[in-house]
Amino acid sequence: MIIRLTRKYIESSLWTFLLAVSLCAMAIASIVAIVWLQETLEAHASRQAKGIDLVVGAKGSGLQNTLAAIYHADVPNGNIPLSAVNQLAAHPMIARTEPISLGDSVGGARIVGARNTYFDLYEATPAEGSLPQAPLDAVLGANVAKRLQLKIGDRFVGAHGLAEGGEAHDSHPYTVVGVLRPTGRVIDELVVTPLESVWIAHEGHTASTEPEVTFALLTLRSPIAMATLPRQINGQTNLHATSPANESARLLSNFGWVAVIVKAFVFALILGATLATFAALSQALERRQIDVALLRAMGVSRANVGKLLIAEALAIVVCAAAMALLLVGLAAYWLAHAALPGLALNIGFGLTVFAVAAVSAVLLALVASLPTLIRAYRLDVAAQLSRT
Amino acid sequence: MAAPRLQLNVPNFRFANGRTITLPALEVHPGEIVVLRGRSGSGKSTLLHLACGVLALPPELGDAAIEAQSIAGLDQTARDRLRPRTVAWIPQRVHLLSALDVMDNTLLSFRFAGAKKNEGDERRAASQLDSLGLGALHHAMPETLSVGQASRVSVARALAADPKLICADEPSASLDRESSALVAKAFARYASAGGAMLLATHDDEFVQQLTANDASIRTISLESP
Repeated sequence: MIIRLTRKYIESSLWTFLLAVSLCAMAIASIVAIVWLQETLEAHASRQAKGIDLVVGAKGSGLQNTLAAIYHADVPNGNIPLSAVNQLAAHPMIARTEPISLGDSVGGARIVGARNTYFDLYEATPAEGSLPQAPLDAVLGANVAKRLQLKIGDRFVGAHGLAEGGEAHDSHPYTVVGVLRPTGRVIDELVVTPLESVWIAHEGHTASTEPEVTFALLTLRSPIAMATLPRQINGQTNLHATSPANESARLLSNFGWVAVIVKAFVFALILGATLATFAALSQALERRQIDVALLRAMGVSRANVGKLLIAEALAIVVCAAAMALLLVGLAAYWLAHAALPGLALNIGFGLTVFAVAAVSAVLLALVASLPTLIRAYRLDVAAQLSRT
Repeated sequence: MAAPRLQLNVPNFRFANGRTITLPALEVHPGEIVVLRGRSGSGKSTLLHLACGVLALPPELGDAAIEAQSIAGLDQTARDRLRPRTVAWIPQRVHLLSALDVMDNTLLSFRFAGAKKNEGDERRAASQLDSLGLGALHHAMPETLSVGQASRVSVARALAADPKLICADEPSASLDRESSALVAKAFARYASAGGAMLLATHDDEFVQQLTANDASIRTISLESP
């Protein structure tokens, strides 16, 4: 009976109901999206640096080195001698040294010169073909292969520079020998080739007489090494060692004000949704005072009348939660499949945030319905039903 | 004579706003219809509200008892439980829930969680609707009814509960002569079956119709305010 009456009441004030549902859904969806997206991006960022404790590059900005070496989102400060990297590799505090060379690109994808152990760092394995066996062999990340429509055996030339439109190295074409499985990490967006390929492509282009690389990605043996080694490298050599974790944290802290604005926006939405629910319920009671009085006159307890009013509040929240789930689901699908392919979404975390937001919305709806319940509780039944 | 169904003795009733009215002591016995007469403001509705527990009666102001069980001092929840099986109220203002059809409005208190549902309720409700000329309207929605028809549904709603006492406030106010006769006949039948009724009305013709149906009527006139 309560459900039937609630349905009829909603039908009689459909627009008010839909407005409350829409505001409530936007609030729930915004909260879930923001919390989930923040967690996803942080996890995504830290996954890119997994296994890399230090980035060693040319002297300059540490943040720039980190962005260039880990996220491939900036240009390096310069190159460093391979011999210096080999010296580092012999250091007892360093477990692993992965030299990489940058400088060229193809169709906007960076060409990274590296040893085949570089693939292990990203747990990347070929989906087709094999890893590079000789200079100018190229292995494509999953997204690059899809985007550039390249397949095994295809040849392409790299362009100088890390952006599109650079001078083409026509005399040194690369051959695609493998395509990697998707990893959800930055290697999906890269073309990997042996270190020697980069030296061959740049023969005569550099002033240095000895082989150079752009970065060395280091894995350290202990946390103590993390505390001492950067200072040691930065003080005693011409190299610049940077912790990607520290640089990422520093970068994120610079955007703290964005988080404050977003949180304020979400708070405004929550407030709006609560007020809309309260207004919908208050209007409902205004229209239904006589119904409530009649039910009370017929012996229907205050508790059951309360259930009837709460049922409407819950209907708003349940519909809003369903709408929010749909919105967030569609947004997540778009994000993971179109906007940021390879972004690994933690579905369990998203559902947990949704559940917490939905339960909080139910509690807020109950709070919003309290004034209405109190008015219904105090309703003068005799006065209402004696009016003619 | 059987023990009174309702005993009410509240010499001076004081409202929450401080206004006080003088009320007569009264008893309603099974099979009897007590008609309250008096001008507006004389306390007819107040007596009805006290009798059916809609209005709280502080014990210091007097006593009201249904079948010798005092209802003075009872809290709201306990007074709600009296309705509609023990005492049914036909309010002055005719109102039906627009979301429910005629049958569901008649069975409102039983359909809701308040009272326990039993098989006899639906049969009795149908029978009351039929006797009040609403046989073809069991599943009609309230917005399709005339005021007179809605008024008869509210009468059927009270009778369907088969209460020990009915408190009716101007039940014929919106009825035409023919409908009024149907209601009078239904009330007389209820009383002759042992029901007790407290009826506030200005309608002499309605009282005559009750008398014409052999109802046992006793009139109490209330003092003018």
